[in-house]
Amino acid sequence: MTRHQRLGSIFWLVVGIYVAIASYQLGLGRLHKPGPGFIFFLSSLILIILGIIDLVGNLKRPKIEKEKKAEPIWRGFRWHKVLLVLGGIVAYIYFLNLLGFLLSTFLLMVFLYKAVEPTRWWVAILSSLITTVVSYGIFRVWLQVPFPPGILEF
Amino acid sequence: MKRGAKEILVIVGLVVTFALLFQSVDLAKAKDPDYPTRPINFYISYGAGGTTDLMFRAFCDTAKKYLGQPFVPINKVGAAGTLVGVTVMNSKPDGYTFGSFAATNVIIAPLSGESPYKDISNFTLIGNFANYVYPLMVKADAPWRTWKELIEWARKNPRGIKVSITGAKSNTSMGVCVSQAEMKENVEFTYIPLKSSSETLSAILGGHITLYGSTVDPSTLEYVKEGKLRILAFMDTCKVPGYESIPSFQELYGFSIINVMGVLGPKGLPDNVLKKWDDTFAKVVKDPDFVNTANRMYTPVVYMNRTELNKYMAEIYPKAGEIIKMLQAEEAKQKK
Amino acid sequence: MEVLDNLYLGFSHIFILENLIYCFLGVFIGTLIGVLPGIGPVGAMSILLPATFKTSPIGSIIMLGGIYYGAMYGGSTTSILVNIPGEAASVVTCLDGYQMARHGRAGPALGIAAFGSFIAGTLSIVGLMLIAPPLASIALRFGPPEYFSLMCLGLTILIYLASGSIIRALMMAVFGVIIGCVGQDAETGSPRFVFGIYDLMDGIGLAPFVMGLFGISEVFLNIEQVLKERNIFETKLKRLFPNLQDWKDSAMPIMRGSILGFLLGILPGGGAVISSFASYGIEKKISKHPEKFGKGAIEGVAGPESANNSATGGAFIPLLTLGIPPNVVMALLLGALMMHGVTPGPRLIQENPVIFWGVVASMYVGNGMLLLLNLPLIGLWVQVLKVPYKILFPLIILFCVIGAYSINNSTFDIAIMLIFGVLGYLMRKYNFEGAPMVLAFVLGPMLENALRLSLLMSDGSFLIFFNRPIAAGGMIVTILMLISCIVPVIRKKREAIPLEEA
Repeated sequence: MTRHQRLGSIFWLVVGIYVAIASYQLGLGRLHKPGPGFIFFLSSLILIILGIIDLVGNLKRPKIEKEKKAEPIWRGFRWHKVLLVLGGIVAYIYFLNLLGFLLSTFLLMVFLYKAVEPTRWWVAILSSLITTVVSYGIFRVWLQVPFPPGILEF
Repeated sequence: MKRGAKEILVIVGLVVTFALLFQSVDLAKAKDPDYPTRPINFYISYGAGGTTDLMFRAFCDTAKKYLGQPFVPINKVGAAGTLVGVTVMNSKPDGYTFGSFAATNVIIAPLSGESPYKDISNFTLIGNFANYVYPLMVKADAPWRTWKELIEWARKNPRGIKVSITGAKSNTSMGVCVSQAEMKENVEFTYIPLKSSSETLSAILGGHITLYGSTVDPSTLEYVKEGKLRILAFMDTCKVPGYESIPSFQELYGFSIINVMGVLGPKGLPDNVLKKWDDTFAKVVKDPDFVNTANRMYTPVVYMNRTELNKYMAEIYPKAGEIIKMLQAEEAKQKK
Repeated sequence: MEVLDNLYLGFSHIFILENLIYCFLGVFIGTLIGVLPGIGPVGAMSILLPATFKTSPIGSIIMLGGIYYGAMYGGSTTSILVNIPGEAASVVTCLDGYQMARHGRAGPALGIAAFGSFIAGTLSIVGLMLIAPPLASIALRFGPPEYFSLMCLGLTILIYLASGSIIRALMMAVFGVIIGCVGQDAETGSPRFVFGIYDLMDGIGLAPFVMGLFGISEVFLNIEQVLKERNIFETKLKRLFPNLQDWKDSAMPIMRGSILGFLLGILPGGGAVISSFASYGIEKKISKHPEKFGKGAIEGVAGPESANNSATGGAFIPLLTLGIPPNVVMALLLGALMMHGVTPGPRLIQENPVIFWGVVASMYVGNGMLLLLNLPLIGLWVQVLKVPYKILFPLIILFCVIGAYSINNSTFDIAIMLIFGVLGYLMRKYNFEGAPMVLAFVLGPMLENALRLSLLMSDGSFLIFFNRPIAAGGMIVTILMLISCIVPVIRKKREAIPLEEA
């Protein structure tokens, strides 16, 4: 079994243990009157058991599986781009309240266009402008979604 | 660094600098003499389409006529209405954010300790415009014709009466009220917490619960009119027209459910905003369309202006606090 | 026949220009709302609610109802095109619909979704017409114990949802239950796994959760590959409409989906989401080639899409015949009716036949309009796929972000979407599936709620699940299904052992 597959199961195992402990503290109640933590505890127990089965089962599998290990899941992929985009959206959430919808959306779009693939500036700016205005029209004007006002009072 | 990335960084840096600069300049609108000049956000703590939601939307619609600006009703359901409380509490007191209140999110939840605010000091309670009707009903084929009969049966069958008040027993006004009745009569009901009055209606029609204790809408009352459901008592003196002969808790026990429905805003609203709202509020509650809607929805108009409302709150808070403490003590005793 | 007379009455009210316009407006807006991720029919309906106060009662139901089932049509579009569920009922369509799009078969996918929705919608209206009152009274008999057994049955469908390792699918499901139950406890009011974040008191939103788990994760997975050399979608489109083989494959799934969705839609809390999952699971179990599911099997689109549309028809039943809305959308409709002074309930059909039959007639018309609207749009949507991904993905992100915000007017939902976007991305990399998590997320809290309420009702006795006929029936079927799953596995293991030893 590849290291990657083991990592996955271990992660969920850890999650299961955490939830089990936390839910125990919530109170399990009694069997005929389950408390708030009951379903969490039960679920996390199952998660832990399944996680162990998954780990063990794969460790036992014949070594032929090792051939498959050649499939990389991180090398050769531009995962830093994912981080960039993620960061951009996080920044958007923060800026939305600060700068308001129009400005933040425009900036986000330009960022997204430029950050991942090489795009010419005028393409990025023009597309961002259009999409910002159109989405404003759809969501603010038509659907009346109240966006935070921010600086431009929109 | 790649050329494109550098450019992005420069732009972002500029924007951040400007943003921080703007932040330091106080852009909050100075006294807005022409208030209101843009639409007002109104947060409703109940689900869209329910009677409460409709009443608040009707309020917004009517207030628009007198205030001059439209409202944007926004449903923000959750946490027994305290989510709206929190939202309004934290909003800018410029007169463009208001919300709904009922007994639960301004009195019961804060007092029972299950909300992020402990009292109403962070709010401006603008006014109360209606009261709910809270009938306690059983199915017509149930063996009890009066409330007294139900209580007698309940005495002999502890936990036998399955009552559903919408929400949890501990943090809703209905829960508190029925619990008081339990204590007075020394009986024990079983509470089945359901999430909406429609669920409660289908539960009682399907025979899954025995007693319905919640608000009603015209659809629910159809069943009463057709004789499929029977009202045994009212939790407040506010009764369904035509059923005045059925006793209220006030008549039976000397207390009523805490029954309020109105508008709240954040603390610190400017005087001109308050004045406009006081005027508007007084006009809305007299508006014939609004009164009609209120009657149709079985939430008749009951008006308390800001001063009266604050007085009421000042009186009711300590009383409600005591009741809740007492109920919580009982709960703790029973758990042992 | 009386029914035909009544239908005639209904239609005579529909074919008035005013009502026809409302119908068209409703389904048009509904389709758009369905396409836009995040914001659902409830949002649009609550905005249009005041406008309907000025119209006739029948006009307002026609329009608002149109928005509801129109949204079901539109929701499949983004699921198929970009793996973003337009609303939760379209999650399952992502599984095979998107794969079909990746293989150049977006046209047939969209087509069969539209046709399936139309057929299912029409069938559900027929059901509404003919058997509404008796079905409604059966629905009333579903209390917490019955729901519990239904949820148990629903969870066994999970086993069929998995394309890969069942153990891993179950792990995801169990985690789905955990996150589904986050929030305020219904009985005690205490916060569970809320971490002090007040927005979580009401739980994690289903829409941002699925948008992130499916949509955002897909974007992440795509952009980390070097785009210049690869096209995400096969540009050589094979065909624009479903071919004969597609129809042959889809016919029975559509039928089954329609019936399933209709029945589940009547139950409060049931509805489109569960019926779409159920349909997928059933189709996969019945199929002669279950391994094709998850890779672009058209049955995986036909069945669920039909199910979620006929669920909308079913949902009208408790509303119109009992005055009890089975979901939030119907609650809005109830409100609209009450504002007009109409009280839906057992007497509606007799006292106000115009409303009932007018709505029925309008649903026929609306479904027809939707089919006519959506079919030509398929050509348009398919063009969207030709847009270079580097231009497309920022738009996808933008609509997801705004869509997530617009659900509750809160940036918190955007954050939720992101968190599950990252989780979904990692899950795909490490070989864990998302669909079981979604089903469990929906069913888990309902299961827990049903369990606790049932035990409250029975004062702690577990017998309540077995001494009520419907509940007992459900539990028995669940146990049988579980057995039928486990037995082949045990048998296989028994056969495998001698082989290994040989």
